[in-house]
Amino acid sequence: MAIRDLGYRPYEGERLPASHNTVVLLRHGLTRAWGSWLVKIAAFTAWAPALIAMFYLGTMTWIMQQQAGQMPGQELPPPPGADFVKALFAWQFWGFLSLIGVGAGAGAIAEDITFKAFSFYFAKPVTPPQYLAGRIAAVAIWCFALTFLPSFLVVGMLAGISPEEMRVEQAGLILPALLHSVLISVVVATGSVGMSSLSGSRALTMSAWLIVLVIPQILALIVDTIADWPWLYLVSIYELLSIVGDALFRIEPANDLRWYYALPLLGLVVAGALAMAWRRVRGVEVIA
Amino acid sequence: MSDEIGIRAIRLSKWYGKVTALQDVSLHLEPGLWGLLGPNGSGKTTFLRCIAGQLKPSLGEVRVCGERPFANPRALRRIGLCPEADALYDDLTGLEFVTSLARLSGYDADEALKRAKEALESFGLEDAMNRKIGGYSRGMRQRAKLAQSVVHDPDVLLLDEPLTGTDPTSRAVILEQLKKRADEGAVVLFSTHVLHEIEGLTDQVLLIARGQVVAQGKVHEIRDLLEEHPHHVRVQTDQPRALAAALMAVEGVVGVSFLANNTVEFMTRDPDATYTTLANEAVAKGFSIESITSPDASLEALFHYLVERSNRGAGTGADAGSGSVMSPDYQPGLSPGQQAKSPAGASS
Repeated sequence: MAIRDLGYRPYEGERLPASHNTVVLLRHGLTRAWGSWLVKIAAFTAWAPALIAMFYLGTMTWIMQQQAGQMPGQELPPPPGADFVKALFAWQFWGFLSLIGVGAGAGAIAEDITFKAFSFYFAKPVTPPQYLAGRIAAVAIWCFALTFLPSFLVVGMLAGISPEEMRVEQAGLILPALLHSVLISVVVATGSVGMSSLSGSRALTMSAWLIVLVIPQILALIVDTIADWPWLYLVSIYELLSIVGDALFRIEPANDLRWYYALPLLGLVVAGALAMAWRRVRGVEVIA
Repeated sequence: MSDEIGIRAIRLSKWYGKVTALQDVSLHLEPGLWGLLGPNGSGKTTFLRCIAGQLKPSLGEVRVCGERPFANPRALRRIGLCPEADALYDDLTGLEFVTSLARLSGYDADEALKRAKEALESFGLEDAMNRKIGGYSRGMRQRAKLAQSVVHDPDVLLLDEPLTGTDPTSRAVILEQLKKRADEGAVVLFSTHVLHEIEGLTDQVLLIARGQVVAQGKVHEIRDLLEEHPHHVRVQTDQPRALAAALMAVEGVVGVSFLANNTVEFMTRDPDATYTTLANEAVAKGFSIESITSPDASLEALFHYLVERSNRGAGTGADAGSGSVMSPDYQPGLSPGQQAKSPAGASS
């Protein structure tokens, strides 16, 4: 092997500010997330519910138009609205965001611990807040893409098939869909990445995040079914998001749980997850 | 930004709970190649990480190019660190790994890619840079780590056991690059517990034991300071007893012993005078000198001597992996400007 002396050439170009490192870490996080087969599965299949919903809407509209043609004067039923869009979020959450949370979020910091990556990152001008922001934002972007974009398509379809006088109202569903997507993305990304800071074992942190998502939901469902007591839903992250989602879409709640109970609890989830992650990287003390 | 290039530690101490990893380290390193030598658990890694801004000093301070490195992006841009851990993302290629870290040093995508390629090429990884790190040998992984540490042309390059697990070819490439960086004006500080890795590369060493720098400077400077540890000169001659008698008259010669094969070993505190007399006597009295060697001129002897002395000074403090529990009467470290303070236990 030849030793190559490439010569010393001092760099005279621009050095980007250290604040730019959040973007660099974000891109790196997006790429690393794509390396997970769970994320790949989610990314390819997450469009299925929206496409099925759009096919359903188109087919039903066509059938009703055919019936209306055969029976002139009969008024067509209004197309579905907020309920329909909100239901899509349930599919997206359980079917795909759970995979993103496990595949990209719940292993993020654990993987860095395993690979002793802190030694490399924090030897560069990277601060702990930048590191955490980059890690969380990467997961949040995946979550947002797989919730908002499908809902955007469905809302567009709804607006397209609705009578002219309803189109603006239907198109207006895009705003609650946007807010709900942001809320879900922030909670899932922060919660999963925070969970990933608990240990260097990815298997452990990924399992822990799955348990936190699923077990409270099942318990609450059982208790509500048997005892007609819905309050245990307040320990389920999904239900908390759903309650706030109902308020955003102006859907009448099915029980006594209201958004002003759920929102502070979601704030606690986010704050707690951030605190866990911060505790792991606070002070940048890197001990491999 | 300061134009000063160097490392300055001022009464630097670091402890984890009751375990002291570094104690009262004060030194100044100027551009050049420095070896940080010490046994496992002596505080080498802690010291490097304090300099690299990855650990916050418990007491005292460390300055790199005039600035405190801890949580200081401006200082961190001037530092390159090659950590000891042999754990890299296996699913990244060497080029992706180095490029992503170059970007964190503030270069745009094109410049980062160009620099990453150059850095990897300089460490002989031009043919392997597009392969996944998971398929790299230990030496290649080490070179990839080194490439990321120099990708931003740091003024201060810190290398934690950079030659661990490397084959002779990798070792030659790495050492060549370290010399080149030092020649270009950088401070290159590399740690090792293998003495022969330092010899031949630099004679500027820091010897660290039990969290204290017990010696700093050039090997011969340190030796000169150690009055209680005489220099050993081994001479093979046809008249060992006559030569011994002649040299015993030299001031500074404190002992002599006869070995096999007509070899006599002198212990002297004044090597220059001893060598001069030796040459004069050989000429004047017609001694036949077969060979002159200095068995403890290597770092090996110095290292063992200093560490043994530290052990005696510290009693039997428990070694705690990353550091040691320090004894209150622990002997302060030496630097080229100081005299050894404890003659007790001097070996001869």
